[in-house]
Amino acid sequence: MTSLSPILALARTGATQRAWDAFLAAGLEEAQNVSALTLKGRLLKDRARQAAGAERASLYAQAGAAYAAAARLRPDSYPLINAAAMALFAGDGASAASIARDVLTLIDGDPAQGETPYWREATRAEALFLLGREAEAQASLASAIKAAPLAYEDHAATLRQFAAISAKTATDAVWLDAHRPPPSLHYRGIMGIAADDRTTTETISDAVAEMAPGFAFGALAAGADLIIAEAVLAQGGELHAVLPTDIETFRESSVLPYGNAWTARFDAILDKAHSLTLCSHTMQMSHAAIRLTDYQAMGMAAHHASLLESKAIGLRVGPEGRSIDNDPWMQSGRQVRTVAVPDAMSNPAPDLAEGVLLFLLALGGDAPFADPIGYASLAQALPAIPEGGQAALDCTIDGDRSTVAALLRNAGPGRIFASQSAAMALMAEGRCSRIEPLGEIDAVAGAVGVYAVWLDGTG
Amino acid sequence: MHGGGAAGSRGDTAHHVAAIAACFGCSEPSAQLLARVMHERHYPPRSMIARHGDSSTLLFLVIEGAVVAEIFGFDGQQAQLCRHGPGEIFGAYPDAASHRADVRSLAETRLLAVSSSELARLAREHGEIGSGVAALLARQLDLMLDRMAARIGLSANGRFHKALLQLADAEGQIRPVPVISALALSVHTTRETGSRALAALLRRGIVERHDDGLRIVSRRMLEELVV
Repeated sequence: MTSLSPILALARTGATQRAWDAFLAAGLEEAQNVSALTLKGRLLKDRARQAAGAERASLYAQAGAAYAAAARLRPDSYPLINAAAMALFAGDGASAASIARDVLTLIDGDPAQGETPYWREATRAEALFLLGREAEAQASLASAIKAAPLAYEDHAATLRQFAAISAKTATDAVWLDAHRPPPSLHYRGIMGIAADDRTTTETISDAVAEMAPGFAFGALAAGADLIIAEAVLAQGGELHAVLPTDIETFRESSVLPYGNAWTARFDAILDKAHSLTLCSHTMQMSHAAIRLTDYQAMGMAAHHASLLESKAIGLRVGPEGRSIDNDPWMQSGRQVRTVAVPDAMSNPAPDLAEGVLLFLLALGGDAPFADPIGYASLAQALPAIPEGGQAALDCTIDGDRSTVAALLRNAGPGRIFASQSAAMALMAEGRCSRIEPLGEIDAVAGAVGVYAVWLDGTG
Repeated sequence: MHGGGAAGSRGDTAHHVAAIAACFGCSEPSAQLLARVMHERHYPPRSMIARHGDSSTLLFLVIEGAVVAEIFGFDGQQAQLCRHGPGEIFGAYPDAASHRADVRSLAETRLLAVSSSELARLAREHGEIGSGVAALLARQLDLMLDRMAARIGLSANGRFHKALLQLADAEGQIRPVPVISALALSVHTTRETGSRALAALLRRGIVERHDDGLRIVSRRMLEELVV
């Protein structure tokens, strides 16, 4: 049998029509096996989302038929609930209700139905919701979440689906908010707070407690960063540390000069972090490396919140009146809280090099593989991408152009591929509606995460 | 060889055997034979492991951290030749040679070092080890070609998920519980990445842990995560 993975991979890049063409070229349109039919349903659903009017309804109906055919071959609540939702989106409420009843019968009659404990109950909840039995749906969704309280990605998928059903049926979806995962926090603050400054520590910790983040993203410099990180962990949050350089360089430049007490706290926090992201391979700290790290951490917080259908919030700690207008987070319009603390003691760290942060853009199409152009900001780079054009974007402080060239070689016509650093910068500034991870390029200098991106207004 | 890293402890032997079995794709008895001649070296970040032109009589397997090979051009400019991460090899095989570049550690790095001639002897005498060495070299060649082609491949998480799928039987059972550090090594990623990936699968109920192994609860969901 033809491998379906390359077709699915194409679909993930957003090349919806190319994925469908590949599906047809592989002779799969009439295939009668569960995998091919499930993929067919997915591809037709993608096409429906890009269509309008009668064509959209027709494609949703065809997607539903493919999912239903898969469920006929092997009774399975996953394709069957999709068939029910597709029928609703196609405008056929009666069929949606009928299939939803079949889903309930299937689940009630077979304890093995539902792919995981969460999805068994969440699928029941969706079927009840499609039938308009809202109170029962709410109770069932609560049971699903109780069965797997930390399966946040799955909760989010249900929240997205319920919101779409609510929009279609014009029902109230406010109750869903009670089930949203906790917010993702991006934090940043001044260095040079005295390690034994209890008042400032309490002020910052109180702010973190009020914001109640489930996840936090940021660096670990001596001062506000470490106080925030400690507060997040103390309150049971998950810490994702993001550093500009390798650990040693960061420790030497941003922790050690402020005293041994901070160094011990840095090492302790590093051990407790859920993940550690190093933004560059450089062994020299610079202002450009710090900007790169800010973009990365902000983008990670925003992306994480988007994956979890929850809120991304910002926390800024600094002296009263310090402007945050140039903060990329402010571009996005997301919530930010500022906490005023006394100005830092004199800065014992050596002056940093300025460095250069560049957004490297390479364009395909009429000028394939032309030399990448470096821009100082996304605001300058993005207007240079022609509508529907093939493009690649990297965000770098070392000026290396090989990554953006490799990204362009991999991007198909009309697609925009970005390195992880560029994708996170786009998310940080709120300039894209969606990013989709595609894997990684194993470059000489290390692996580079690759994302398909949809700029604002193109999703 | 420059400096020489600190030796590992004997308590690491079980981990070494698991790591060797995963990387060479060999049975435990063969891995134990190899473990007797492979010695751990530990290097702090930024340590010089070898200098360009040094004689090289060892083959190294990276089991944690990463090393970078750097060359200097005629203009004095330093350039990165390549980088080797977990599960990758560098050095001499089957004969002694000289290092083509400076090799230094990028992070805390643990290597297993084996005498090239000793490994060549074992490869000649034990078919399974010979086959393992060939597979290891072929995989290293694949990696280098992939790097030259710069094509999009699976992420580290995606490779780990795929490895779990490959270990499972038709019922989704993986017995016994795999050594996560060794499984991660076999797909060229870190123990931390493997542990986090498995923890996320357990958290979502996609995989269950039992006393005698793991069970893939939803193969479809795990397959969707092979990205």
